[in-house]
Amino acid sequence: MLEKLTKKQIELQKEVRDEWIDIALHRNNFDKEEIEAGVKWMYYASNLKEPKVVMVDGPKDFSKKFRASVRASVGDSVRASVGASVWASVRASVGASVRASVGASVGASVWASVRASVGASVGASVGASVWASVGDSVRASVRASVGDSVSWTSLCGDAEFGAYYEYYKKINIVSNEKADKYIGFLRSGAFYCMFFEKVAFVMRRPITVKQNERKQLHSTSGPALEFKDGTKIYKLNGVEFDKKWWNKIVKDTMKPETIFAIDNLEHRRIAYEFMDKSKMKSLKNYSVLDEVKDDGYGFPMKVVSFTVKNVNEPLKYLNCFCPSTGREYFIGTSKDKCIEAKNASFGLEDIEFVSEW
Amino acid sequence: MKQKAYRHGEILLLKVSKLPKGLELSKSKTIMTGSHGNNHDIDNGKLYFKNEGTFVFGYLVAKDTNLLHPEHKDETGKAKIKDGVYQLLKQQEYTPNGLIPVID
Repeated sequence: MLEKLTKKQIELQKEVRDEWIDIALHRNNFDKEEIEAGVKWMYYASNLKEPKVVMVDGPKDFSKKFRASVRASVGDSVRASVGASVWASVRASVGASVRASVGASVGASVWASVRASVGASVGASVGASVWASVGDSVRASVRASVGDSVSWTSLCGDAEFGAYYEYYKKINIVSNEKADKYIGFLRSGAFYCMFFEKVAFVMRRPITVKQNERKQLHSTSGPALEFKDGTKIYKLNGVEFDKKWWNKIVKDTMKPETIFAIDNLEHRRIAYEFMDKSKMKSLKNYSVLDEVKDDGYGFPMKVVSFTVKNVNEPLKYLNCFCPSTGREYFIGTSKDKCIEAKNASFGLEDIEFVSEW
Repeated sequence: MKQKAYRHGEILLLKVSKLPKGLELSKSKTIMTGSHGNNHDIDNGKLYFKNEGTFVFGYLVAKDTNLLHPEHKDETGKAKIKDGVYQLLKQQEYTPNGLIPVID
């Protein structure tokens, strides 16, 4: 049982972590032969017939090629058949056996250290932000046909596992033939795969991935995520915008009243973040109606009011902060007092907040 | 006496004395799906979905329940609530044209 990592083993954590972030997001290799062999192996291991493997350059290309195939020719959506089989036969069983081997060989403190330093940080860099974004983009482009039922496997989703497995392999804790094969498949550049009964689509990596220091997809100079097929995804601090709105926000060309009129609270929040705050003074009849210095989590709360053209009543907003993220929000209200405004946003008059996250 | 509540982003969990009758148990562990792919989930407990007016959209019977969300959590990565029955309310914001759900 390994209870303590050596200095060399601790240094290796960073090396493996950085390598997998690079493999997942930044390398250019796209080994079609290796990928095709890997996909066929996964179908074979799942007792399924060999599919046709179609390489795609991004979400748009996938959408085009998916639509070009007559729906019947790709076969059924395979969450139930291919999905369950591939997942159970390859990914889940590989994951489970690796976890079991590692669990039996390392102590709790080593487990926690590797999880925090290798797995979680790769997951944060790649998994949460990029995988979700690509998934959304793919599903949006072919929602009617694919919906949520597509079965997938991907480098961008499994880089965390890759880093975790390879780290333990390098320090001689685990070695698993199936895992090696799966890791080889991931390393070949299979960024995002969608499996159907007769056809498997494999997407290459994006050509551009830009993130902020919190590893959220973010760019103020262009798309945060761009694929070879021309798909461009604009994001600011992890929140997606269409190009027109992204452009207005990064150039700060909107009037504050326009920003306050944005109906999506996250979009409004980001637009406000990028706005020159001196513009608030331009709001007609701008005033602070009530102010609480500490909301219980160290943040202030305010109710602000101003008037805009063609709206008879003054607009009022509860200006508050998320206790978990510290993000600043403006929520429309009819109340003049902070506490009343907060309670009224849930349709209540008097509440004791036990905890807020 | 004030009613006790937990807030998890745009969701409020309001402590109530009992579960209304006739609710159907959901198989889901997702309280609400986030528009940016960030769901409000639970690890343990039972969910019942039923819209009642503008704010209420269901109930939770919590037992050893943590609220899960990529962003709304404490330093342990979880948000633990006391066992009990909770009414689930979705935050709304006022506009001159009426209430609209907070979209995040």
